[in-house]
Amino acid sequence: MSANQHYAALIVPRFRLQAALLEAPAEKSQFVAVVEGGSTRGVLLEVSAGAEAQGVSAGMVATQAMARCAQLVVLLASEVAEAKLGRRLLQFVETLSPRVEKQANDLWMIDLRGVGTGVGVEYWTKWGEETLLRLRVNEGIEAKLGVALRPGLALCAARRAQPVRVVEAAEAFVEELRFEELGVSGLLCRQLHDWGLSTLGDLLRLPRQAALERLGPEAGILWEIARDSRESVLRVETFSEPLELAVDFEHPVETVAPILFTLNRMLEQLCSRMRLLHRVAAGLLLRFTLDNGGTYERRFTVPAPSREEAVLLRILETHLETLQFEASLTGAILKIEATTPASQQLALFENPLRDPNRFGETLARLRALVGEDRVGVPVASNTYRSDVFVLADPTSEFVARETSSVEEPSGGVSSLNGVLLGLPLRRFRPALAAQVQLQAHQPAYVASGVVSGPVVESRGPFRLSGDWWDSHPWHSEQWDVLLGGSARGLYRLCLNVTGVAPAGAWLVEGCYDAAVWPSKRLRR
Amino acid sequence: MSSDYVELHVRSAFSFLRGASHPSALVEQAAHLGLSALALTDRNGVYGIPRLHKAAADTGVRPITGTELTLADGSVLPVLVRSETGYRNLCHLLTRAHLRGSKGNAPVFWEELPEFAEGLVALTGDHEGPVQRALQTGQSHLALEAVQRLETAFGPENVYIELQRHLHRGEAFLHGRLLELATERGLSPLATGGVSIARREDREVLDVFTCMRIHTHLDAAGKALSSNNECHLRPPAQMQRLFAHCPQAVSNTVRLAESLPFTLKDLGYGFPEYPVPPGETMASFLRTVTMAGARARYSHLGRKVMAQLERELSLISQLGFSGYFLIVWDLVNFCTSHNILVQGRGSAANSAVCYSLGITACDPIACELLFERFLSEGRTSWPDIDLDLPSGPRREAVIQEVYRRYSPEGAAMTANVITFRGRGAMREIGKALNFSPAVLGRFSALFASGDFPNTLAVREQLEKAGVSASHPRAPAALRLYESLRKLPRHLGQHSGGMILSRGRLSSIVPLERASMEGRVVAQWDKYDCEELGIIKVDLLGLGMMAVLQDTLELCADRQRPVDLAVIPKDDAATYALMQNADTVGVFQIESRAQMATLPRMKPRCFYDVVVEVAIIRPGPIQGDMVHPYLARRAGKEPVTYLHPDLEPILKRTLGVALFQEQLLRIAMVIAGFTAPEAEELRRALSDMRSKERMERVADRLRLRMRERNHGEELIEKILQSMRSFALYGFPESHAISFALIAYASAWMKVHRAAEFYASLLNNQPMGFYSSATLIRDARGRGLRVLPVAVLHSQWRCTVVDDGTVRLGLCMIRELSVAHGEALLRQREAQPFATMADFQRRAGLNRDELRALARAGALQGLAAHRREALWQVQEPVEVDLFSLAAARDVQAAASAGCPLTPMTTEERLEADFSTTRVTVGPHPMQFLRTQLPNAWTAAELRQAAHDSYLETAGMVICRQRPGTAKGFVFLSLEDESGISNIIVSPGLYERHRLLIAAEAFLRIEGVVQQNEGVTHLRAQGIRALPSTLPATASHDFH
Repeated sequence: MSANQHYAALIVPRFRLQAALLEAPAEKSQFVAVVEGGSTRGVLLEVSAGAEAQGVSAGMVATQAMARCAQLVVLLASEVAEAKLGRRLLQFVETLSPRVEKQANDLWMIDLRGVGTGVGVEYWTKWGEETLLRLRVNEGIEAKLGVALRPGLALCAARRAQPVRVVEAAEAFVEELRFEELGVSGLLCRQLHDWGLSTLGDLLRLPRQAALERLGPEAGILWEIARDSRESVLRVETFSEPLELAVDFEHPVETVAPILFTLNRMLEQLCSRMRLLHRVAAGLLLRFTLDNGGTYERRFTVPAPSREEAVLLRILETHLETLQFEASLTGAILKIEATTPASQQLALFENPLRDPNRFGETLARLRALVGEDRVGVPVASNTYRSDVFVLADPTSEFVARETSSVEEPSGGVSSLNGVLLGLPLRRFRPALAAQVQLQAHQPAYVASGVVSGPVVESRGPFRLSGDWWDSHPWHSEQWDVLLGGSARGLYRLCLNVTGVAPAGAWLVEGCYDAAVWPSKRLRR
Repeated sequence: MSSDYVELHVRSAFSFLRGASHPSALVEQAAHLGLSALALTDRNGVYGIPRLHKAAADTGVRPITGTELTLADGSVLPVLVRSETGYRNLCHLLTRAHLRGSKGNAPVFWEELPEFAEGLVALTGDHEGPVQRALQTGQSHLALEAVQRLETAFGPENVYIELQRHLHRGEAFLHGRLLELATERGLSPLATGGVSIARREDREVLDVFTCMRIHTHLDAAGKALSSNNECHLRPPAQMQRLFAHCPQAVSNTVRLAESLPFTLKDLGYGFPEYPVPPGETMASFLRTVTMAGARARYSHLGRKVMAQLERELSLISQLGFSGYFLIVWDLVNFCTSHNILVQGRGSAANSAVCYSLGITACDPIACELLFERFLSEGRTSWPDIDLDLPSGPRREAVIQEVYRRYSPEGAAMTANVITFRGRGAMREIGKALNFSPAVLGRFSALFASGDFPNTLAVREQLEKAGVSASHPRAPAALRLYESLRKLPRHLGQHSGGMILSRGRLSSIVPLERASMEGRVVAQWDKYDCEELGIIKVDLLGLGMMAVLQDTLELCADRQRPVDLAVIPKDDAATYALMQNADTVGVFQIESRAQMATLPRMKPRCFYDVVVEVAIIRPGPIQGDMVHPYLARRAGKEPVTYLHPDLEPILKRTLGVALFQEQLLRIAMVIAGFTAPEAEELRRALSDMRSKERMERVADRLRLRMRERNHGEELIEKILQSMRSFALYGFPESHAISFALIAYASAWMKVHRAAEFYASLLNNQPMGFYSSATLIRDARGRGLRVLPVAVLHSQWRCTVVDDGTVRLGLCMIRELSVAHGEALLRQREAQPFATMADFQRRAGLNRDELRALARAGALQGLAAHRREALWQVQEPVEVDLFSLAAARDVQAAASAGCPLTPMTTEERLEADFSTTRVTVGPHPMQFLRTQLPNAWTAAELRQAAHDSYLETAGMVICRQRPGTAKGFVFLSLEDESGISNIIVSPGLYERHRLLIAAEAFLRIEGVVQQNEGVTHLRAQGIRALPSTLPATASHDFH
């Protein structure tokens, strides 16, 4: 074997199970299985070795598996976790070689040219073992590794690895490979099984032409594998120099100015790397280490992905301006979340925001002032509950979608709202706490810090309730009241009967537009 | 009862996902609130009307009939029935709408309303109504147009402007507009509740129904759900307060209700008249054909027979049922003339007239059956004649003949109301509550199976499924589970109940299109029809009838015909088969419990078979009658009677009451019940739906027995028997009909085994056992079962000789009927000579060829299955000139097949995957080496009582009868036979999933030998892991 012609295949067995366990680290039982989240039958996708020893196997219905192994913990497969595990793997294989190819979530092919200086099975076996150890210790991922002179062989070697297999005598090796290990498709595999064949060697003993005529072209690949004639050029997966920089300050830093200076230098470097890679920053991750041992971490979204240092620095600066640390800073890590630049024809489809990053900057300032979860575009929730909304990211598509959609209520007069818009309501936010005197079950006098007076006329109650299926059901009664006295006007009262704090309390929710009132009668 | 308000717009759960309360709950609540009347206006039908009327009869609330019509423009129009004409019109209109629409879609056109409007009153409806829908668009003139169209259709005096208050915003404004319309058009306003729930708390069910209807869950449903829970029934005083601005709208409800006198008593139903020859009445013609039949049936028409016939004919004529008997007789004649096996069952078997007409096969006089069980003077409802027919196309032919005879719209299947139950209910609830599919799957898997009540509390079961008590939605799930159960989910069709009517049935009950092609179904189920006096003829499909008919035909084809009517009833070999419980495949007496009783019962005559059929039923079991009977029969305890007067009644059943007829006689003798009272008792015994009904009759029975100074002990024992029978009572006549089929099938199994097994296999699935078990049983009886072979097999399984059956091509799962038949046509034209010849002419696709090769069906064309596979996968390009060359090529190819033959184990796997059966070794034979200490089923029968041992096998049956106090019965099959396992409730709960999910089990326990019956009382259960294929088991039925 020559040192510059090797390929390694890295397989992560039970990838989906390992990913699910990343999300549920508490479930470190030896009897674990993962099922498809949306599967109604709960068929097991992957099972742990411990569970397998109890007679549980992939493809089994969850209930049967539980019958065989009472301690079995069944986890739901998680795409998020799988993506996370995929990223970790990418980071790891990037450290092995500049040329890697992701062939499947659980399979990475690595071109080992230029990796290592040794030769021979022993050398590559040791390399493989050290690599897997590093992967296990640093990332918590169990994997298998195969090394061979051809990618296809390396893959087969990885499938047979325990946990490392280096193939030297390719011919003998391929003959013992089972069709499942070769990734043969289900139909062909079944046909071969019907023929009583289980290994590639079995197939090779058949007359090639006659077998190919019966099995079709896919089977030809098996002969090619056997001849080790398949060449493969690896597609290089996303990677290069990591877009991440870290600095340790010589002395603890307590003011913003030196931090900004450092961050600016880091951004210059990272942006220049991005230019080389033809990438732009879609996000920034900033982490500070503190001299009290703690850390501070913050992620920023770049509304219009960019590689302009000034733009990115402004985002950081806006945030840092209002930030106060509980201790001095001892170091900083800045990481770019890169993406491919979006291409758009601005003349025709101009972005509605002239400068999205400036807008993002403004939002960041607002967030810094009023709080992270208090900035956004209010979008009415699809509920009857009064004044319930969610704050959507102003730059997200969600806003456009939610604000443009019109809910079709199931029934009741509420569906008349399109016609009966009534008077505009000016809401008090928050609603005013009030004391309400009742006469004959109707409001007679309203007293609150802002609005007080006798009720001249009232309409109601209008009852609303919902969320009865959850731990926070609510039930409220609304009244429209015409107040006399100094606060003369038309108001909306609300009695939160249950569920909405404070329960049993009256609120003045708002006042109807005075420009319209009182020339019109109450029409509700 | 009178009130100041009547509710006239109510949707019940029979609006199917648009209302959340049962009609009876609505009536109960209406009575509680002091409403004098209640109109049910379910969507597109009168599905709940019979139940409304029935519930109303007990409460004093007057029922009013109505419906909500879905108009073609999507609006919904409530209408109320004023008169019989109106009801007929409504039924016709609904029928027309349903029959032209697809299932669940019944659009009514505005243009056709005038044609059917007479006798109906229209309300303008709620937010879905045509008027409010127009107002919602903001175009008042459209609302006015809608009102005018209603006036044109129904007449101004029959149109009411409907006002509802659900405490929504905008209602006052809307009322203003509606009242303006009313004033403008001179129409009366009418207050209604727009009720969808009986009580506020039912809103939860309504919201879940909404989610089901629009296929979403509660978190996502948003404003599709109800905004509050105000659409409930309200008392008059509250309605007056709510409509204080328009008091006449409330008072109008009472006035309108008073003008709607229609009740279901005015249905005007009549059974079709039978066309009789000139000069005959139906009664006289019935007498003529009965007497003719009697002369053929009875060798001598003695005084007793004549007296019985006279008595029956006189009563039939007096009750006006002559036409009914003639029509059923005519149907039986149709079956006979079309070579369709038919047998009447049910209480008809008590009638000598039915026997004489050939409707039933059992002589009631010889069997001393009680005619009053069938007909009595007090009977108001029609007698019950059920016809058993061979399941499948033969029965469908009879059903279609009935449709043809009574078309158009004169006949329909009765409905079957599918209700929310058990795991299905929780599945729907869980979906609405947004539980994960995995949780729902686990809940279903944990659910008790069979008819045994769930032994896990629902709360506990939810916890095990992953919804802990602290889960925020667990309380809602539990509440909903209780509320949802037994509410109607949708309408299906009854398995065989057909109703007929003089004239158009669609003027009595609306008809709908069933999912099944060519079927029409009524909107009421069989109980509703019976309550309303609508005659049902049950055309029931029995798999065993099809088997018997096929067996008879095979026997005739093979020149050894059998006449069922004359097979000897005292055949020793047949009784020996029963005594040995060798009854796999035999009608009724093949179940595990029956087979455990047969060796103790030791049937020696036909009446023993009747008792055997009847005794293993929930009624006798719950009434503790089985063991006393068997003990008395075995001479272990004396035959005694509760009262000397009971001896003539109970003598045949050794002093133990086993049949409904006996209970009726006891009531007549001990309590002095008159014929009408006995009829009421019969109805109570037959009505499984109503415990109250049974209790009412029981009270009367107790009173009458006390009047006759009977002791309390006797009274209570008799009442206990009555109550047990009320659950699953079995009439003697019914048992006799079933016993006839059971005996015939047993006789066939003994004397025409090859034909019988071939027919059994051809009619699968049916009965308790899979084809694989039937084949094993056949081979156990010395029959050879030959595999499928394209050179020999027909489409169905056939008889080769008296001891050999050939499996048919129908066993190959991959092979389509059309291709199979084409293959047979080619073979008939010229036998297949070579594989190439077969491939060329059979015209099968590659998958079918591979399946045949794997199944070994190409034997004779290839040396072994793999050679066949090798050959059929060879691409064949045939043209006119290269045929011979191609043959040579293939011959050369087959000569050089490089594949090795399949091993026995591989053949087993191939057999099961292609045909689900094997004629080779049993799968357990391959596992036997893993089980050095396990006893086979055959060895188990020789084991000593109380010995502790292990057995193993493939699970072919899991049962948990409702009468077995939670015990579970497993049947394990191995290469030697079937072993019976008893699992205690505790052990079952510990291994619930294991028992339910594993195909092969290892079980150790204590052997119980009792009067020739062997059981293993399980003490330990383990899975027997195997990759071998297993047959489908018969579970928890």
